[in-house]
Formats: sequence, structure tokens, C-alpha cells
Amino acid sequence: MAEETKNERSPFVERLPQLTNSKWGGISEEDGEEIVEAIFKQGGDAISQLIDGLQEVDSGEDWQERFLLHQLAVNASAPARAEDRKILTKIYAAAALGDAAATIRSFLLQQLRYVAGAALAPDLAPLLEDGDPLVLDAVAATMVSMGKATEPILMEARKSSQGHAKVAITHALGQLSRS
Amino acid sequence: MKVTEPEAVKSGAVGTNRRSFVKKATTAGVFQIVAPHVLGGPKYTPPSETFGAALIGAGGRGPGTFGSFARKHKLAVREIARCDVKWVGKSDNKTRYTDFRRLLERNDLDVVAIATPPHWHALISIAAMEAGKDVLCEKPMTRFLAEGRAVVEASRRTKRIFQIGTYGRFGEAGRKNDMRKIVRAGLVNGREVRVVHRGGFKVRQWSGPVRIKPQPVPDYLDWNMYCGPSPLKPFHPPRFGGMHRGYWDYDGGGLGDMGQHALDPITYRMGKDETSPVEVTAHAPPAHPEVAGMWGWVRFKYEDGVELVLESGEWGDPHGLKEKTISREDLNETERKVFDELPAEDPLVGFGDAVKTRVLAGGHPEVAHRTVSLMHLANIAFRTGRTIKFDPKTERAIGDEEANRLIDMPMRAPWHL
Repeated sequence: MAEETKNERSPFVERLPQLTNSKWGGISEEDGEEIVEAIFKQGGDAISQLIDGLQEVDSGEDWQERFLLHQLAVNASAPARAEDRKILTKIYAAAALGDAAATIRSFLLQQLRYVAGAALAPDLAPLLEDGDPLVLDAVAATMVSMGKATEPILMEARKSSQGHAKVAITHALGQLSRS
Repeated sequence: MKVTEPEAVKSGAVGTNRRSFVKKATTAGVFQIVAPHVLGGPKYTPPSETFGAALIGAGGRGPGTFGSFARKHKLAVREIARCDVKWVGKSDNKTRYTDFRRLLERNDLDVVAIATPPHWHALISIAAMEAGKDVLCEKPMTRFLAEGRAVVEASRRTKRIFQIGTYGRFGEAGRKNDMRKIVRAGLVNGREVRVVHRGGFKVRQWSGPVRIKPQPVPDYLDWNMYCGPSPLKPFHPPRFGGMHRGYWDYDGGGLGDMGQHALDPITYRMGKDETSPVEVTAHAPPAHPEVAGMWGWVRFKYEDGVELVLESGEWGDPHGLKEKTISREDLNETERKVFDELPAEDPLVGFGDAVKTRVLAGGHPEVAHRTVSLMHLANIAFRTGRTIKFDPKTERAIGDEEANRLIDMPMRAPWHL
């Protein structure tokens, strides 16, 4: 998968500086903003290309894609950027609901914690039946971040849940009861 | 690992423990009439004053933290056990544990030192206090802001002693300090007051490696337990021990390591150790989703206009604002009169005395939480790249729901606050 995707990587990854001793030394706020805005300007295809560049194993080889997808989420999470949140939520959620590896889907679910409101919860509900604990933990955590409005969905999913899913859903409901 | 001989063993207080001695002595009616020196000379510590102690998180700082019970806090302790997730196959659930919950079930335990990575600090502190133990917890107190409030509430609910493992405020408390008195008395009255602290945060050192290969989990390590409330990730050696500070899952980078040390005396001196700022602005590069990274400066503004600026000196441009302190001489005559009539504060109580006398320790949960909150708010400003408006009473970001998601984070099952 890594070899296949290497040639198709987003041109935006080339705009990030090299790591120093594997560490992220940072870029200026202005440069970071410029890259993020350029991606948003190109729209859904550019964002999807970054998602396609994610690698199955969290090996660090796709650090640029992870960084940029995170920066898109962080920037879109600003209170005034509701439209960007809608776009990003739709694309990330579609990929999280797709057939990518669990490590990729759980990463995208973590990013949805920055941008997704409770309105997305019904769409994500099928993931509460996912067979992979990584995805289950991630979607449960995302529902907790979305807030108490997700309780009915979690309650409904809990009825038919088993094993790790039941633990993750019950746990999410417990955390929501604190908020 | 070599387990050192506890102080209490050296002093001869072996074969019984404080709780059983107190119980037996009270039953026999001798507890109040036998003075310590009668039992065994001036250096002898009787069992009634010897505390059962344990260490949770035995690597790194752990032994030093445990040693501070006797060395720094003058507590006679009898070491009961240690606990560490890297002892799979080596624990006996008597002197060595891998699960802190089993250790905390023991009723011969009075005090625990917690020196795990920070993502465990709050949960273990709360569990220990719920189990009736007093807590000495390494800094930083917490991994995210809402954890701190939960620790404060647990301490109040259980009436257990908690002391954070940094002591800068104790030194500060012994000095002449007009600023603290003026700020706490509400005498700032619109004057420009600002503290600037530069350097010493080890920002570059604790920036986590990004491009690292996952490896098989070592057979001696309970990786699932190590990750605990944080997301389960592939095992990368830097995530475990040493470089763990560089990952948001476990700590907060250079600020996580050095922030509470630096801020403990500063918040005390500023008189801002029982409240939080209303606005946080930062200068930092866009942050990576997994690793803590570089930052230039962060500026905190309090409700009364008092400011605190931290500069890393390791990235970007300096803030440029100068420190502006305030003293009695800056006050007008009316204000001076108020100032002069302010009562002196009680001296800060060390952990050892707090445990013995059941009064709040100098580094108690509220001040430790308010201090580490600065670190968390700074990291949220770094991570979101925007100014955070904060309500010190509700401890929530104002008008920024996504920032609130970093203030109170979900935990992985089965762990929760």
C-alpha cells in the first residue's frame, strides 16, 4: 500500500520542511495558514488525496498527510469556520465509514473530534458495530466529544452490542453522564 | 531493579505497621501515654509514626520521589511495595505489582508516591485518595485541564492529603512579596502589572519524534495498561519512557516537564494560584496531531489585567514586552492603608506535616491544578492556533466548543474520571 500510494501523494506534502532527527521543527504560522487555505481552496479532491496517502501502519512515513489533515481540522474548528467544518466533516466521515484499515479510520475519527457536531452522530452510528477495537474506541470517544446529544444513539446501539463494543458504548455513556 | 532499604527499616520500626500499631495501642490504652523517646532513644521512630508507603511508577523519577518521603518530608516510611507496568512476569502482588488497583487495595498503606507518566497522574491520585491514601504526585499534575478539577474534588471528598512534586512556592513564601498581597487584595486598580519568564522549558528536547517505526511490544511490558486512558497506539519505543513527554497522549512537551516547576513559584508570587486567566494568546508553529513541538511565547491575561508572559527562547520571535512588577511604593495612600492592615498569611505546610496534622499541604490540589492549568491552556492555544477566552469559574473556553474538547477529553474504556 505504501509503495502504491507514494507516487500519488498530494503535492502539498512537498511544501512541508524536512524533519530534523525525526522531529517536527515547525513552520511559521503564516506558512502553515497558507498551505491550509490552499488545500481548502482546491476542495474535496485535494483533501481526499491526503486521506489516500495515509498508510495502514502508524509508521511515521505518512507524517505529512497526518499533519495536514490535522491542521485542516484544527483550522476548521475555529468558531467562525462553520462551512469548512461541514466540508471536512463530510469527507472525513465518509472515509471513516469506508473500507480503509482500522488505524486509518481511527485517525480520521480522532480528527472528527475537532470538527464534528452531534448532527454527525447518526451517520457514525454503524461504526459502533465495527469489529475492530481501535475503531470502536475512536468512535465512542468522538461521540463523547460531541456531547450529550449523542446519548440516544449510544443507548440504541448498546441494546444489540456485544463484547468490546458494549464496553466502549457503556463507557461513553458513563463519561457523558459527567458532562 | 534494586529496591533500597526503607528509612523505617533502618530505624528499626519493622515487624508492624502504623495502622496495626495504632489499632492495638488504642485498644490497650497505651497510645496516648507512651512518648516516642521512651520506646527507643532519640533516633527511634515508633510504629505509631511510621507510614506504610508505596511507589507507583518505579522508573525515571520514581525512586527519587519515593526517597523524598524521608529525605525532604521527614516522614518515617515503611516501604510496602512498588508498582510498574514493566514488570510483567516479575510481579508477586506482595512487593511488586503491575496493576495499581491491586496495590491500592492494601490496608497497610498510608501514603503513595505517583511517578508514572502524566496521563496516569489524575486517575491514580483519585483512586489512591478514594482508597484512603495520601498522595505525593509528580508534576505535571494532569494531562488535561478537567482532570485537575476531578483531583481537587476527590481530595475534598475524601479528606486526603495531596501534594504536587514541585516546591518552588515554598521558597517564594519565605520572601517579602508585595505583589501577591496587592493582587490578592484587589489593589492593582488598572495598573500595568506583568511577569515575564524566559527559558528553561526544554521545548526542543521534549519535541517528540514523528517518523518512528512501530515495534513488537516487549514481553516485560503491559502496553495496554501503559496506554491506559489514552488511545491505544502501536508500540513505538519513544512513547514509553524517556521521550513520552513529547506525545500529547501522555504529556505536554517541554511545558509538561518544566512548566509546573517554573509556574509554581510564579503563580504564588503573582497571587494567581487560586484562579485562572481569562485570555491566552500564543505564538507557535502549527502543531502536529501526535507530538508536542516548538513554541515561541504565550501570554496569559487575568481578569484584573495582570499578565504573565512565558517565552521559550527556542523558537520564533520574542514577545518583547518587559516585566512590570508592583510594590507597596506604587500604591496611593488609601491603598497603602489597606495594604498595611492585611493579615499575614499562614506559613505553607510541607507534605510530611500535612500528613501528620491533616491540614492542607502547601502544594495542595487547588493551587497545583490552577498552576498546571496554565500549561494546559498554553498547549490548547498552541494546538488550535488561536486565542482562547476562558472562564476561571466554570473552567471552560468561552465561545469555542472545539477548545473545550481539549479541556475535557474522552478516556479509553474502562478508564474515566
